[in-house]
Amino acid sequence: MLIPEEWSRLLSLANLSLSEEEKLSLRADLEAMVAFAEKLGDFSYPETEKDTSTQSSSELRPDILAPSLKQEVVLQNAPEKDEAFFLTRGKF
Amino acid sequence: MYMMDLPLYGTKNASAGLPSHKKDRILPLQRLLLQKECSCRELAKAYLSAAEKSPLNAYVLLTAEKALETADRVDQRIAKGETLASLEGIPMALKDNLSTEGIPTTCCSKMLKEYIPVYDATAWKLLKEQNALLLGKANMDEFAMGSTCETSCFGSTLNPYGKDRVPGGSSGGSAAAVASGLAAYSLGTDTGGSIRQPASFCGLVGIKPTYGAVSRYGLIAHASSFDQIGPMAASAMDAAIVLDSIAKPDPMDPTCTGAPSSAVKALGTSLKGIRIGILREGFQGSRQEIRDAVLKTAKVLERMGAHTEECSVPLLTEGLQIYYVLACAEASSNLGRYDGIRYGYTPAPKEEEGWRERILRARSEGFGREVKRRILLGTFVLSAGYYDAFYRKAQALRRSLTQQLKSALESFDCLLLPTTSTAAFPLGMLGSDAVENFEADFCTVAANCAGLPALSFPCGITLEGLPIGAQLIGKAFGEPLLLNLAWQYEEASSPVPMPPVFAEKTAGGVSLGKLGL
Repeated sequence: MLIPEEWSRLLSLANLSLSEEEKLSLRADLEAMVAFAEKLGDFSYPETEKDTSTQSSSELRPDILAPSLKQEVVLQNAPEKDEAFFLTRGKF
Repeated sequence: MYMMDLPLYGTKNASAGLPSHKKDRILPLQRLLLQKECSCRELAKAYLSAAEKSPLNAYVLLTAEKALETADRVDQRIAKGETLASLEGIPMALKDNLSTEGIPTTCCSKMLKEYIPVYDATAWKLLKEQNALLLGKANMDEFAMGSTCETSCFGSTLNPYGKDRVPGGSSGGSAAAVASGLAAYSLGTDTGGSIRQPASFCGLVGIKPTYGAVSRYGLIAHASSFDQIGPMAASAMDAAIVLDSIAKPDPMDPTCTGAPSSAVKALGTSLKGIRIGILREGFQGSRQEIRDAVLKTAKVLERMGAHTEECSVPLLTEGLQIYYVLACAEASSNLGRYDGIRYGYTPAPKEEEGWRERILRARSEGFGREVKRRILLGTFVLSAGYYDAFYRKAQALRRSLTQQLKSALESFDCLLLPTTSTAAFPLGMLGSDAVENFEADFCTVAANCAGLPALSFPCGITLEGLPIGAQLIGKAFGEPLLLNLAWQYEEASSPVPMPPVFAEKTAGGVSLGKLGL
């Protein structure tokens, strides 16, 4: 069971603000999903085991300049913009 | 049955001499175009008209104008006697999480309802360069999160085999479109089974390629270490033709470094000496008629020359927990980009609202319930205090599961198991139970965890008339063998019947039904 402080912290980390009704039902869902995932605790693994990816090695692209999208193209989907920038509410 | 003897295109050498299968669509349609029995424009119009009238909600957008432009280009090339590319002029659908320049790509979410990509996904670009005939964007679960296609903001897609049934998900629209004759083939995406499960529910061949075989560039990310793009088609030949066209290394996706050898060329090769492991744990919880159909499939493949034997991958039973912890963690990170500032849903402004409050409101109003659930679980397993117990442990177990699968594949060429433990279930049945939703993916997630190729092909029908899918998991870049096994099975067995909802189309006065569509 999540304590209220944990739940509030989680919503903040997830960048979600839920209605009271949503909070109740999604909290119940989360607790059910966490209980489901807790089965992982039944299995042991070597402490030295490192995180894994599906590929044995990663290939990096050469660090070279390549053509990018033009500014006006990048701005095409912006809900609010001026000639050169995305517009949003002031952060401070 | 006819023999492919026309000098059609790049795959002609491989397909020449192979008998056609009843459900093949790509080669018969090309034959139709090249023999001028109908024009590509007529073909496009026939498909678009059928899609407009369809009650299945398989498409969320039809791209009629662009389709007709493409059709005209193809017709000009045919008139000049030019050689057509392998998928040139063939009508197809794209799942709506694949970026299409200038064409809305919504992920079936309110969050991206107005979004128009400014570049093409590589997989689509490779098809577009061939003049593939894009009919439209196919319905899907929101952000590819779901197993039923019911979490789409455009409403559910219906299963052509029973309109009270789900088509599966998340690539449900892509599956229903092909199964009901509204597209010759489609592209879907598979993070935990989203190509194979709907392919199974709709009687199709669907393949999740090896991780790194098909570029993910332009695929709107769900869980980046699991996501793959792949074909959904009516037959193994069709799926092989499409896979050969899209599996190419791409510098825009650093994980896309390899490509399987030609799948089309592998079709028809002998199964003698092929060893198939019947994966015991994969049958856990399966309904009896599903088990019977898959085991009967093994017998058919044995008669074709393969050797089958039971094998075990014990960690398969924990695949769901491993997958959901990791996939939700990656999803919560990937979906962090949606803030309503650069693109995506932005709520109406409120005077007193600050910068952060507006972002929170954009996300809370823009995402649906299933997406929020998964963001919350992903954020939880990555948060301080829980990271080691959930995320780190799941990563370690993912490696163990991968090792167990690879170990089994040292003794066998591929593994056989059901694609799903049930046939298509009724709409609304999974309802709001979060864990029940997860369990629908029991048979499919292991291949994604290990990055291995896996294919679903139709192997029977239930007493209720719903298709059953058998699944093959192969070695990395072993797609040609999997497709050959599916092709050989088609060769030796009767096809699953066509669905009751199948588009009755005509093109240029020629019934496409005559070609076995």
